[in-house]
Amino acid sequence: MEPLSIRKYISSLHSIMHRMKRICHGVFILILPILLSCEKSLDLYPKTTYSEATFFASPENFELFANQFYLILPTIGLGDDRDQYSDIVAQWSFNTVSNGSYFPTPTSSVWDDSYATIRNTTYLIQKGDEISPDLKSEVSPFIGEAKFFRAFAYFNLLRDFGGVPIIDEVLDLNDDDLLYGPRKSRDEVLNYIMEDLDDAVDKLPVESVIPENNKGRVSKGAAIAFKARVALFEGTWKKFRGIDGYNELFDEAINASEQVINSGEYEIFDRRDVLGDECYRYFFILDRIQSNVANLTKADQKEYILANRFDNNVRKQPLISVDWTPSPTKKIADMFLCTDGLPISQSPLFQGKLTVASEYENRDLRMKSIFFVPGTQCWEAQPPNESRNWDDPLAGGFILEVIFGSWTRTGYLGSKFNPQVLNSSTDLPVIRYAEILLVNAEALFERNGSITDEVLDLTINKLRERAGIAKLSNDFVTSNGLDMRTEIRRERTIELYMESQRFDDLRRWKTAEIEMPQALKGVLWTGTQYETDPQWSSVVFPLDIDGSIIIEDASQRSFEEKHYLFPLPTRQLLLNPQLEQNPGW
Amino acid sequence: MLLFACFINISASIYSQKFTFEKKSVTIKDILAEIETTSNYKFLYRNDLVDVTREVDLNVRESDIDGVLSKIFDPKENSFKVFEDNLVVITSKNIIQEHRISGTVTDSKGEPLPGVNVVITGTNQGTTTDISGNYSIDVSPEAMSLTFTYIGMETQEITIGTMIQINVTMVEAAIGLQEVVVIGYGTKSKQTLTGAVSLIEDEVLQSRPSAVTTDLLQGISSGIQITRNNTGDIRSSMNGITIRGITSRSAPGVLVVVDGVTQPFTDARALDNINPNDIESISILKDGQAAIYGARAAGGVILVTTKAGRSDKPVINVSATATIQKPSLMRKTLNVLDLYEMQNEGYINDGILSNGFTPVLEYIADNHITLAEVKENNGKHIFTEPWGVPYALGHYEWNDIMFDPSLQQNYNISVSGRKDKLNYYESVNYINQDGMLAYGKNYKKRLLVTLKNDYDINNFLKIRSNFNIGNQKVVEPYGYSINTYNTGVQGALFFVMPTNQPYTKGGRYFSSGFGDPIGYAEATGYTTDILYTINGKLGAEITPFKDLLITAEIASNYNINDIDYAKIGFPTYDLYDNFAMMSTDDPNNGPATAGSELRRTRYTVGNLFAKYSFEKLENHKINLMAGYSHEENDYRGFSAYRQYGLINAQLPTMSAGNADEQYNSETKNDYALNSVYSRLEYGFKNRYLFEGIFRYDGSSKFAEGYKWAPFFGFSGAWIISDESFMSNLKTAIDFLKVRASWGQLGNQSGIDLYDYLSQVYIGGAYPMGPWNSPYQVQYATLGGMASTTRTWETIESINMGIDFMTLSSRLTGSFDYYIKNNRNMFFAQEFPSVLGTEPPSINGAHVRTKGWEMELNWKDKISRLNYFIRLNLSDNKTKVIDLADRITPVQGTNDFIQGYPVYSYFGYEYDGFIQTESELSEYTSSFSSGIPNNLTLGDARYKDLDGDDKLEALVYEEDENGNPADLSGDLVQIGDGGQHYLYGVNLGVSWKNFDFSCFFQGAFKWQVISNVVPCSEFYEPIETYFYHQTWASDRTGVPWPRLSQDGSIKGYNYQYSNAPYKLVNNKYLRLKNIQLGYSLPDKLARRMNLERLRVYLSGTDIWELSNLPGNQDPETPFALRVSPFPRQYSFGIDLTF
Repeated sequence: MEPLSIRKYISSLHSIMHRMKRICHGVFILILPILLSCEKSLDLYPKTTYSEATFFASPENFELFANQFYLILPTIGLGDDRDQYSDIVAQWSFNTVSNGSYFPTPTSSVWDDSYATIRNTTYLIQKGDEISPDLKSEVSPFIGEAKFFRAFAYFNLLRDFGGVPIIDEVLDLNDDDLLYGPRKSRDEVLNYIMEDLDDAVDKLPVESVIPENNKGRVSKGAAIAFKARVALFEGTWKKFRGIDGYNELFDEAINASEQVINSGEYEIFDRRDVLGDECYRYFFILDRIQSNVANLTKADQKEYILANRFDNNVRKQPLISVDWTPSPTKKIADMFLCTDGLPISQSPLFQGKLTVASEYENRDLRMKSIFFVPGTQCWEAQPPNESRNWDDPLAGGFILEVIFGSWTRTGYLGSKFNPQVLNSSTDLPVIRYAEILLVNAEALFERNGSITDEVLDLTINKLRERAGIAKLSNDFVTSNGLDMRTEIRRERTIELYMESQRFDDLRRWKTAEIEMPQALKGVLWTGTQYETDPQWSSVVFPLDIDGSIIIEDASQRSFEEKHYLFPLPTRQLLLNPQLEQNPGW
Repeated sequence: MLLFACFINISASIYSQKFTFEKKSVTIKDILAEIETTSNYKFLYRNDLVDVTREVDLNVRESDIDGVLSKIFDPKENSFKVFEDNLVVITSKNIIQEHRISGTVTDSKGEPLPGVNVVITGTNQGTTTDISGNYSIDVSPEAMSLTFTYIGMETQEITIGTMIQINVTMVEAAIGLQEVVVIGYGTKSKQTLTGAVSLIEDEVLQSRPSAVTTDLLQGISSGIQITRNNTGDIRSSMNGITIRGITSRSAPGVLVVVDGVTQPFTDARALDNINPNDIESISILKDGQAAIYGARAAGGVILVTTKAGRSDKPVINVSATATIQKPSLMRKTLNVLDLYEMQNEGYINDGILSNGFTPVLEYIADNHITLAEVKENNGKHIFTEPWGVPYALGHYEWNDIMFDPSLQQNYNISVSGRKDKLNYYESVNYINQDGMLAYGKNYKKRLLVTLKNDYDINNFLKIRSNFNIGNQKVVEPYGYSINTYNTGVQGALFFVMPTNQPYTKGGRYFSSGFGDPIGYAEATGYTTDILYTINGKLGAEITPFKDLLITAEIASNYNINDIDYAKIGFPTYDLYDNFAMMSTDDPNNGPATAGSELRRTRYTVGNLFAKYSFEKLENHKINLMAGYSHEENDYRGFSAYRQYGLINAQLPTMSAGNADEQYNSETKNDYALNSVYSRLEYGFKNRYLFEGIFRYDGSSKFAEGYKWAPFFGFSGAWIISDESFMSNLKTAIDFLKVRASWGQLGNQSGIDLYDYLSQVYIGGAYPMGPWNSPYQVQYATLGGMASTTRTWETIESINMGIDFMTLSSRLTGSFDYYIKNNRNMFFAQEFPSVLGTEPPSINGAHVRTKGWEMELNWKDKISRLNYFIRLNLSDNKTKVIDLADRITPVQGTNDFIQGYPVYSYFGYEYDGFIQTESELSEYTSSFSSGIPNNLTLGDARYKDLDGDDKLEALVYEEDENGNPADLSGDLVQIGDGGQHYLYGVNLGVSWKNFDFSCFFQGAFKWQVISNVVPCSEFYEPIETYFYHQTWASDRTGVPWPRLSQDGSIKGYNYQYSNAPYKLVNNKYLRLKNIQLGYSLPDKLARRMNLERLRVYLSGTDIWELSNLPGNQDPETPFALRVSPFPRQYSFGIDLTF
């Protein structure tokens, strides 16, 4: 048989077509429904998330969305404590901000995180505008929270970078004007913060009317208090740089702080009656369970205006341990007054530094509370964990010794916020009443150039009383050759130690250029127990002329004009040519 | 949409001739003889069965052959059938229907060949030759011919005719060319392949005793790269697979297709869940030919074909392997004296003359303590420095303490064969692997069962079924592989100091502040990880008429991963046997916890496709295939745990936990793919070959209007050696083919399943409410921005290749060059961060891979010694052409940076050490920022490339005039982390009953960056090779800078910022496997009623040549080095009967 050619194939095609058609039809009938049903099968939707389109229809979801903002609250003492940038603590390795050796980096978490908060808060504010009018009042407090946190984020940017781009809408990828816009001035950013805070004050409830189930949320008082902080910051920033407009800001700070004081919502925690001299230590580690001999709990204080909350059951507070706590420097140690209200250089009560514990005698009670006195008991990480016997404080634990290199760098042991137990429920303050008293005093002093004894009694002396030191008065200052501004600032530095204020204070006072380049020092060595006790015989430190140990020499520290502001992240400069770098960087 | 061919068929034969007879009393024989002379009909009958001497009367006019024959034969007695070539077979009905054919099959040397398949052509009926090469088979009268097949031999078809004895001599097949290669929805002979397809056969896979399929693929074929990912424990170590480099940032993985069924996982799991003994062959689609799997083909396609029954006689195979895993390449850390010396030096260099190490070193010096003395008198000298907890000076080799050789057992049984219309292959595989951990329980047990049954119901319908069930259990100490401080065995072992004694004097777990690795191995509870896999397929092959084959199949794949764990506190004691602490009180370890996790993947795929072959055209060969598939996958993950409460060694269960401390979460998601695919194959004279592929895919991952995309592929080949002008060279060149292909491969991985939608996530925990009894609130967060216009990533692959065979088929080889372009790669365009959120990834970046591959195989024999050499060598380079997000290079490894190869290393340009005071002042004064302010002698120097007095971690860039650009920094590319010039060498020799093979594998160039540095933390051990290799005033010619404990110096952004001393060319050669086997001589085996018995000794990973410092595994360079590397020594036995 001859092989068939293509032509023959084609000629025989039609005879086969009949059979083919049947099969093709059959196959199509089989496939078609599958095709149709499967086209639909490609429309899949998330199973464990909400669609944004429907989420904001209900007011409860505004609260759910606002809850995320609380996560941006700083965790002072747990690592993002800005005192490490300053001159009053020494970190385990030298801090590049503190010693001035840092340089611009491509990215900055302050920049990125703040703008992320700004987007999220703005988003909620925008959703609040879109919600039906009858639900507006119901969501209003959460819009107030969003405004507070937006102001909080802008202030984080302002204090680090100065004027920054203001983003007042939820950006889309084609919003080039804002995405690639220039920096706004300091004043514009400041005004934007103040407007948000004013709005927040209007919308937020007073602390005492916040129902028990909503405790922990931002109150009206918190917004006003934050306003006082911002106004004082910017007021002094301007004043010490000779920029006009500071008095208006001091007025705002005075006004806001007085509103908080007069509201009667907050009070200084002073329970020396039951807690004794170390009342101040226990104040910062109040727990929901027994954490002190008097069985006081977190509910017993009204000093925290806004706190970053922790709870053993919900959000555990990690251990703040001695060996991870930055070591206090000589500067802060020497700053504590003696009980007579005089500095150690002047006070006859000062016991000197002959022994490791002698300098703690007759001093401001806060010194023993926020430092561990060498040779005292520490319960940290020692079992039993959750049931430390506060009736017998000496049960368990270990004696804290000065071990250079493992527990301390400077010889001083920091203890503020150290709950000495694992998994504590202690909260970390974001704004507390003591700061408002200090803002009030400082703003009045800077506004008027003087401060009355009455105001001192209402503010600073409330803190000095708790610290067991003599009252501050105009007479006392004059008769002892002291300086009122120095005393106000001293009070602030001590009271807000490890609360992220010192570095910003030095910058707004414009004293950083003097204070920061000074050497970081530790305990007095020459002629003291350190020198003679064989325990430290192998320890060698460079010493200053007085015999104090030097941790970081002045030659390795610098603070130039440019350091008053952080450099903008360089990646952002590349992406947006309109952004200008801060001077000097 | 669907390409439906117009199917053509032809009728078989043509009845044209007519006969006229008017005869009386004539024998049938005469009539037939007359027909044979007057026409072209031929008659075939057996004299003993058909009586042709009978006389008949015949009177027909213009009758066809049927008419004539029906007159002369009685239909009750005889039947006849006219075949295509006018051959008429006449058979008898009332006598014997079948007759028996027997014979002997031999090879070309005349040796009997056992195990040859003898099948009646066109049926499933058949037998195999016995040990003497004999067979016998009953054939029905319809049977036309017998087909003889044997692996490695040319298939022969012998017409039966009247023969009752058929002896056959089998001829060795020309290597490879006739082999059938699976190419996706069909097969092809190797000769007619038009694309770059690697074929890996059973014999190669079986040459190494491993239970892990991906281990067996390593280095065997060019173009597929298996990277070891040794995390140190059995549970989470998994190989990485890439085919022809990384051409997409979204790491699409590989698509694995097992017997036509696509698998849900795109990583090693898809292969490692298969019993390697079940694999018949693996083909890898490396180029545009993968376009037939369009949507999921971006990372290459691996097609696995499993074994089927081969002969009527059931074949039972039993194999067993025992493997000793020997802990090797152990991390070598400094002994206690050298360690203290180095740590102390680091502090002294920083001006901390007195540190925790100083007093100990002074004591050691004062008392002239030597290492020998330390080892001998462990526990004699007691200190509290430098960790503040009492410890005794001692030296313990913790790696030796923690690891022991372990045993791995592997058993496999398979039964296969053919019985009537049933083809069966059933197997069971069991492995029992003990970990090398010397303490605690650590093992893996796996059972895989395969049931594969094909049933040919009739010529119209064939059923194909395959069922696999797997059950794997891994038990290991809780948190074994977690590498953080004090969280498990590895975490404890990484940080353990040589002074840490294994037990206290009282035999308790010792704690010096560092966890006790033995305690973490024995007493911290266990993780039990169970993996169930259930895969089933049922398919039907329908042949409505000849040449058309319709396949319909549905397969489902369940993967259920069931994990439960308990973290139990164990007490540790100090030097004096006083209770120190519970392990669960360590903040790094956390509270007692018990929990469980369930991860379930349910994958279903349905396939319907038809193939039509135009077989009858002599010079033209056309095959058409078209089909439709639907895949869907849904996943559910659930996890829950409780803490505290009564969780302890007696009650390591979740129920014992505190109900107030319970946490749980759930994840659910799904995706679906719809695809239409088709392929046209055309061959002219079997010499000019062409193939076209079209595929259309829809994915649920994209927004409406962007779901569907077409993918095309074209390839062609020219077999030059078949041309007449090559006939003169035929003796020299046996085979020569050139190939070219172009194809589009789609990718949709690397993006979230639903992120074309804006989503709100719920999660988290924050305390709100009463101060002393707050409740937990969750919070809602916005997902990233949605992309509504994103669509498929398409990789275009161009391949050019050549295949040849020469020197009497002894040398075969191939060479391929390819370019892969990914022009619409997903990328997240970078926006200023004032945007406040992550921008979505969109299409538009461009990455290009260029590479080449070559393979050379030599096979020959010298008298009775057979040997082979197989070589492969390949390389590829991937460059980022366009990536508009312009991610800035950071110091260290950068995977995708515009204008640079993938995995580029960036660092400052190194300028030597600061050796003198003047160099120091010159260097420090030349920078205004960017360098630490406490630099001193022995620190590294870097170049200020852009001359702006700042050392900046931004890439160095020039403007159009060649001057440093405005915002230029000082980083330059100092290396490329890709593996280059990968090679494999396989040698084998067999002589008489012995066989020997060895397999080497390696890379010629692989720059790796060491993240292991001489000065880490004061509480970390240091690798031995750094000792005295760091700068000191009396050691200036060393590779590493001075030691420093200061974070700003030693941090990765300065001292160790990827300067050249951190780069090592990790070129290596490793002996992956060496094996010596002995098979019992046939006669002896026969006497034992065995078909085959082979025993072997094998070594895996037992030797290497490496460039790395310290005792490192070159395949996992500078991995966090905790667990040792296993060298494997095996003994195996393989029985067939």
